[in-house]
Formats: sequence, structure tokens, C-alpha cells
Amino acid sequence: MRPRAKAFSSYAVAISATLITLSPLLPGSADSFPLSTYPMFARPREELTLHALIAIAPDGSEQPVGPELLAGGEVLQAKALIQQSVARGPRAMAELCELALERLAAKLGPQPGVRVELVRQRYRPLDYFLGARRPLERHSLARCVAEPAGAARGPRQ
Amino acid sequence: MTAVLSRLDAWFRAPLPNQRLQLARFCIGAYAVVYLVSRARHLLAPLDYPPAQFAPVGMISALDAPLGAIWLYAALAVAVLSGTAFSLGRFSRVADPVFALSLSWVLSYRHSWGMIFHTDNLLVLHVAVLALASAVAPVPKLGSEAPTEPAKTAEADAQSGWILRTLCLVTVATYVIAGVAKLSLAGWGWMNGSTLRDQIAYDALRKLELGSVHSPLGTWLLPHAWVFPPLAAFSLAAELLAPLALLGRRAAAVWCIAAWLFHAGVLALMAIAFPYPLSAVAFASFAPLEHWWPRLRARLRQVRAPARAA
Repeated sequence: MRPRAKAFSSYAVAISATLITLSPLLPGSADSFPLSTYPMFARPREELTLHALIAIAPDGSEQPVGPELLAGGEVLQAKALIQQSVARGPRAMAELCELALERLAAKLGPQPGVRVELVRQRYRPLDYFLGARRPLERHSLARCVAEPAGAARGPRQ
Repeated sequence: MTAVLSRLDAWFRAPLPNQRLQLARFCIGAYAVVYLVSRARHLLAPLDYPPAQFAPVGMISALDAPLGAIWLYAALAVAVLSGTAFSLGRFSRVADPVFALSLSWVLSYRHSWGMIFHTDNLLVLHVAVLALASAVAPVPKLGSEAPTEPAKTAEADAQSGWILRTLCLVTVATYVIAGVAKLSLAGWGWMNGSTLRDQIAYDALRKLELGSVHSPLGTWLLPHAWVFPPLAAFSLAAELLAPLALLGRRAAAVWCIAAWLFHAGVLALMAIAFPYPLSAVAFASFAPLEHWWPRLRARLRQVRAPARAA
């Protein structure tokens, strides 16, 4: 390659790589991969509306259904899966409850009387850590119950 | 104007030791291979996700349905094999583009389920730059001797110069975008620390409610509001002032340490790991690796010698 062609190629690679990397700065750009608008940590987050799956024992004690049962241990992926189910409606939410209950039983063995609920909770996160632990509101969106062995089991809403 | 362009041209095309490019390529490629292998369980986790949750991003947007298991296993295997060749500078005409594409494919697939993580972007961009550069400049094989002819050495160093600087430009650009995002979404008020404090509380509570691990240090600090303005100012400065790293070796060292500390802070306060910058490999193109390598090799020999004697 001639020197001038080499110089041209080097500039072509460097300028195109830099401009493409910077292209998410253009107005209206969406977050994608590998080109990102890097929106994490940027938005003000005074309130949190969270959809979560909760396992409730017959005695009323509650445990979150951990991300290892839903998304290979990735908490944000688990959150995204729950969020997508909520967006897709009651049937998808009921299916996710069922899936969580099945995986819970597969991991811990049969859990008669345990129910899994998909809940929507609203918090002020900073207040939570400053002492106000109760959610501002909480709604159950879907639930399913592990019945005693041999009985039918199904989602309820 | 001409004077400015000449200075930019001189900066961009100033030679850098070819060994630095060899070592940077090796570090980036080896990191990617280790990352792919060690994260294989997570990269293959989408096989268990409900197909209805498929939300393709990046190059996966070409698909309208999830891949069968065999294709995902095959893509991962291709990425690991081509990545190994890439790291060693072997079969670069084939291995480099294949590695850039397969790495991007495997990681994009991982992000195509409703949650885009931001931990892998820079790695994919660095590999893409190196693959693109190898199409226009010869790729140094790892461990190859420097050319004996001065003219060839000068040519190799000239090629290394612009490739390493392109990696630096891309690195700096990603940090600037993250800083601009904070300003455009929260304004200069981001500096007062309240957004950062809310973000740490938001992230910790989300993890708590979803049954995951959160940072006890972050939640312990939340009642102490005075901590957050300096942390926020430091974070924003590390992102927006990233271009200063292009000014010289000392400025680059200061910025790399600041950027690493920023990521260490995110890990400590939010339990969110950005492994590529935390490993320091993301900053390899800024570092005088050719000076460090002989020292490291000598140290390794010293360690090995007594072991052999015993």
C-alpha cells in the first residue's frame, strides 16, 4: 500500500470508529448494543415502582423469588423478564407465576400451600433506607398456589 | 486552521512501539476469551428464557425469533476459538473479522432479552477497531521479533501509533457519552449528589426486593448526605474530562486511575461490576506496556528459578 493510501485508510478507520461510537449523542438515539447512550445512573430516581415475584409461605412469611430461579442469577435480567410479563398482560403474568412455582418446587422440593404472587410495589427508596420501610402502595397482579400433592394447581388472578 | 490540522495529524500519526500494540491486542483478546469462557453459563442462560421475551438489539435485530440451542453453542465456540487466534496474532485475515463479529453476536444475544447491560460495550468496540485496523495494516504476531531493518521498524511503529490512538479515542468517547447522558437527563444538578444518592438507594432496594445482593457500604452511607456531592463531582469529571487523557502520558495515567477508581466506587457502593475497566485491560492502549512487559517477564523468571532449583 502506498503511503498516501495508508494514511487515508488510517484516518478512515479512526474517524469512522470515533464517530460511530459518538453517534448515540444524536438526538432521538435509543440505547442499544454495542452503541449505547449510557443512561445508567443518569436519571433522577426519587421513586421506584417495582414488579417482583414473592413466595409466601402458609404462615404468611415472605421471600422474594431470587433471580437464580428466573434468569441464571442476573438480577436485572430477572427484573426485565418480570417487567415484560407485566407489559404482556394477565396471561403472561400467570405463566410467569407458574414458572416460578415450578422452579421453586424443583429446587426445594414440593412446597404445599406456598403461593407465588406477582406484586407491584411503589417506594421512595431513600426514605426506605432512612427508616420508612413500608411501600407507599402494593398491588397483587397475579398469583398461583402450590396445592397438596395430587390436587390440581393453577394460576389465579 | 492548517496549523491545527498539522498538529492533529502529527499527534495521530506519531509512532508508538509495535510491541505495545502486540501486547494490547493480546490483553484485549485474552480478556475477551477468558470472559466468554467464565461467563458461558450466563451467555447461554437465554436458552431457558421464555421465547416471548425476545427483544433483539444490535446485530441480533436481524432475527425475528430466538436461535436454537445449537446455534448459540456454535457461536460461542467460534468466538472462543477465533478470539484465541486473535490474541496470538495468528490467521488474522480470517480470525480478526470472525472474532469481532462472533463476539458482538454472542454478547448482543445476551442483551436481547429486555435488559441491555452496559458492561461489554467497550470490549466489543475495541475488538471491532482492532479487526478493522488489521484489514488495512499488518497484524503483529505475539512474541515476533522486531524487524532488523530500521525502515521496517519505523513503518511498524507508525502503524501501531494510529491503531493505539484510535483505541484511545473510542475509549474516551464512551466515557464522554456517559457524562453527557447525565447532563442531558439530570442537568448540572447531577453534581450536587442527590441523584447519585437516590440512584444508590434505588439500586439497593431493587436488588433487595428481587432477592439479590446489594452493597452494604452503599446503604450504610445513604444517611450521610455530605458524602455524595464530592463523589458525584468526581464521577462526572472522570467522564466529561476523559479527552484530557489524549494529551500525553502523564495525563493518560491520571485519567486511567480516575476512571478505574470511578468503577471501583460503583462496585463498592452499588455492587455493580464493570469487569473490563476494573481489570484495567480497557485502558491497555494508554499504557506503556512495552516497558512493563520485560520487568514482568524478569519477575516471572525469578519466581520460576527457585521453584526449578527445588
